[in-house]
Amino acid sequence: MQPPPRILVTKIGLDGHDRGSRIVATALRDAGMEVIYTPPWQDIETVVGLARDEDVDVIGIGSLATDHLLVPKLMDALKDAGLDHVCVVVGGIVPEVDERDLLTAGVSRVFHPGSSMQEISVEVSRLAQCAREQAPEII
Amino acid sequence: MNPQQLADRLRAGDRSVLGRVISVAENGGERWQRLLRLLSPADDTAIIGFTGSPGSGKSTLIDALITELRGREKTIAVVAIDPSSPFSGGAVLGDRCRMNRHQGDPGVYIRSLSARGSVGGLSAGAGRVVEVLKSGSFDLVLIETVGSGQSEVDILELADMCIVICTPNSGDDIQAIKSGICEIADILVVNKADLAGADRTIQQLITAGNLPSNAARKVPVLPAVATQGTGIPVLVDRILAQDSTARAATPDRKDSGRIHRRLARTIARDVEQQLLDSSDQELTELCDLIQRGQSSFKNAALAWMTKRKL
Amino acid sequence: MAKIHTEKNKAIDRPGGPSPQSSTTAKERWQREYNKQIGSTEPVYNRSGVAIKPIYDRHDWDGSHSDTELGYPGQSPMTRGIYPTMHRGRTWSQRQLIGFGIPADYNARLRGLIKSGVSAVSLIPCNSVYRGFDADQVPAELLGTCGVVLNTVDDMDACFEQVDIADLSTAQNDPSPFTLLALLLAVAKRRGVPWSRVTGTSNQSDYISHFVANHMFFRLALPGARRVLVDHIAFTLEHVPGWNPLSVVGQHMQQAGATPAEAMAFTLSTAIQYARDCINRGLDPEQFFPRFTFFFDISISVFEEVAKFRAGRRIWESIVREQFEVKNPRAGRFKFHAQTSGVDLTRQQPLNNIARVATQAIAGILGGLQSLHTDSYDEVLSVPTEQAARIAIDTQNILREEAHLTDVIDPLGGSYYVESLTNQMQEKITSVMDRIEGCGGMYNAVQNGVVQTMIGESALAFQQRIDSGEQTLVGVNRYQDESQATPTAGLERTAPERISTHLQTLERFKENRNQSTVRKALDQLAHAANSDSENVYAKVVDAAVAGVTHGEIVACLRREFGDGAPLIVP
Repeated sequence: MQPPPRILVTKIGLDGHDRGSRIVATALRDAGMEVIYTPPWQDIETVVGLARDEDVDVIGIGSLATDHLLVPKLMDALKDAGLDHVCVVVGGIVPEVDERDLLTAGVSRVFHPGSSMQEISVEVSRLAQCAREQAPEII
Repeated sequence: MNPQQLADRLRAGDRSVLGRVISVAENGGERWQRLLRLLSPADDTAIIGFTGSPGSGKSTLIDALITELRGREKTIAVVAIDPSSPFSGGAVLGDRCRMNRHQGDPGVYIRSLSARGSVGGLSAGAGRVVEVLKSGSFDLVLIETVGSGQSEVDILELADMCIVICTPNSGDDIQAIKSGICEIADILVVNKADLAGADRTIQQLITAGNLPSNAARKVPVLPAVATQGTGIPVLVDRILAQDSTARAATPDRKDSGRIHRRLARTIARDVEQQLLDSSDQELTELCDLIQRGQSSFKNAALAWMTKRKL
Repeated sequence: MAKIHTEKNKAIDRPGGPSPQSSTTAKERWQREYNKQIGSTEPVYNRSGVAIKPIYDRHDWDGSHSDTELGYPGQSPMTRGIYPTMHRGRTWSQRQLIGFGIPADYNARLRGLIKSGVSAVSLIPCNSVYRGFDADQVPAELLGTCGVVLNTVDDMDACFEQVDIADLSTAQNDPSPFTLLALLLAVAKRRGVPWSRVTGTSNQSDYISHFVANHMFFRLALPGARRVLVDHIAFTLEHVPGWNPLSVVGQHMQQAGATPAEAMAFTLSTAIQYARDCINRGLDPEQFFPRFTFFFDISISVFEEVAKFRAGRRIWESIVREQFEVKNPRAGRFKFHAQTSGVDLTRQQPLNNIARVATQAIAGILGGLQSLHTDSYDEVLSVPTEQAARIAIDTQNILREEAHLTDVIDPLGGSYYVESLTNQMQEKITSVMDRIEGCGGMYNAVQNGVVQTMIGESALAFQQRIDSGEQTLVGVNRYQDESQATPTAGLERTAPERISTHLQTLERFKENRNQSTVRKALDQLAHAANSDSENVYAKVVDAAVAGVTHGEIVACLRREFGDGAPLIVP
């Protein structure tokens, strides 16, 4: 049997509204995933460190204000740390212009308000599978 | 990366591989068997277990201990085990939330594990994960059990020392004392000792620890306020002192019954994993018999064991 | 506590009414007909979990205790309103939140609003300010995207350039240690405006709600936040008498997922906690209670919200009068500002949000609010645009002056349903409050995570009602209109050049001030934080006057009191 997907649900930047990320974390748990959950305001280097140490497949970033503007920096930092295989999704209030920039920067998917938990967990689970396939074999 | 390179990097405590290697250990199976051959676990890594009921402040206490231990230039790995959902098998691993300030410190490694359905406070893979951490460059490995409020005896299999955390006026804790938690504990910590009723709880625990049944071991009871760092230096002194005494002493200084239980459980757990991973012909046949209703589980197991003179 | 009477166990009819025989028969006939047509007797539940019947009559509420349960507006128990005239006299303050870009941007928008007749303004700082940082301490990309970047007395002066701050009511989103008020007082001093004419509200003074729900605003560790709040109240009562130092915020709790009843309960329990803390500090309840204000969320569950506000007023009045034995009749007035809930708004078919906001606002108005903020329909798309903010303001204008909503005080009073629901909401609210008391009061309850867990469970339950379709959300789980593409919001972002100019201004400010005065002020602040005999907030104000920046003040108190880490219960 496949081990459960491991997902990091976190927030970077300055905003602290975490109702959405908490609900998503619970929904992913209920879909059988292992969710590492953090309080808001994580530094980018902390997120990268957590992704590496916890060996996660997908990182979910909640952004209710404008913190998603920092996500391209996160994508670069993941690449530098050799974690290219980790998929990143962003959920929250993301204007369309910004969404295009995020996708260009390598974000796998942006979830807007109104996305159902079902939709989110199916997609995250699929991305986790992709990430596992992409990850370099170590043994 | 060839196996030798991997082994070298692990020994050097290379973070870029540790996380992935631990997943291999956690998940077990054939890749783990291959990995096991590369490991060279150190004998001098102190394995310390932390258990206590929900809300007793285990994570916060460990967070404070990390700060103190880092001040004494010790390197630390933490394994924090959270419960898994009995319905979906998923888990929210939130214990490390309270330790995240140590995330950037190269001398600290924190890993969250889901219990993955195990009862008893650990996960099936926890033992394997500890083997990997012992092969890294850590002075101490701290294990935080699920903390279900039940008596989590499994930690005895893994840890050299077990710290039980209580809080003042908690009915659960008094129940736990009655159910023999002192037998597990090498040190009892009364956290949140600034709350009313702390002195009474400490007294009760000291009394329980001094019962005739427990005459061989006197369990120290230490107060702490983890959020403020109060009592932490004393606790660390105690942990480090007990650890070195235990190391210097001959094994029979320790409760021999405890060692026996621990070994038996370890063997059982390893045999279980091997059986789960194997595609043994005989097992398959026994399974068929059970499925066809021609044998009970108990009889099938007996048949298998008898053949191995067990 | 004002006694409420549940009608279900009482004799059904009294003399004067229709004869028992005919009444029962009519009701039975209706019930039969209703069951036949609906085909189900499943109850409907409101968001707070109260079972709602298809019809209410005098068996649910017969008005026999209306004198004690309702009274008249401005009189105990204040169920019908806190002032004798209510919206017949003064309607409500139309308070729109503004804050964007750098101080010059804020000033331009503020002057526009004042020109259009607004007399009460608000000040929303940038998220970097909320987190307790100066502009030079955070990633520049995030500056000024959600509020105004404001760190120094010069910045505050620029925000109010050519605006007379005397008697201008400003509501500041200013969490502990209240640096924005300190900077405003420094500007007043600079301009020769006496502090007695500085008026407004510290909108975000409720650190408990920040610890529990709006984590972004939580800056100082709990014991420090507790100390600073009481000192802030003591300071303003003495030196800035026109200022409301405390706004207890149920809005955060409800936004984070608490049900309306839970949110009201948490707010009242928090207010009780603060009152006890003030009394322990030796403050006079007759003096501080009239300065307590409240801030709530208004969801789209119309009658539930009306009942929430009516029940809240009644409970608060009795707490002040009975539990704290306060004589001042102004003390029991449950003054509240309310904001339409962003949680009910959808990204899909976003113009529908205009209808939602109007509906929420009606609920708040019928509930007897004193001040109202209506959300812009595009808040779920981005930071609100000016055009959308205009519609939000006009929504209030329409409701106030076209809709005849303000003709009658407490127009739903006496309705079988609303009175019965008010009583049931009161029961829900007080049962949650009892649970909090059982934990030793709100301060202890939030430390134990009890409140956080309740909120998390309610948030999840609500989401599950939406996902299952039990709760309709137009455009999301019903009536989706694929042809209606999501309009792209006009993005207003401060040009990077303006931000870098502002950063240079900050750098110059820090260079040019009297460094030894700044050092001395910070030393005194640190000293006061460690001395029980001093008012630490007085030293915050001194520091602002001395040219210490917002970020420096917060950093100093974080060192002395500990950094605020909210308790997050995943």
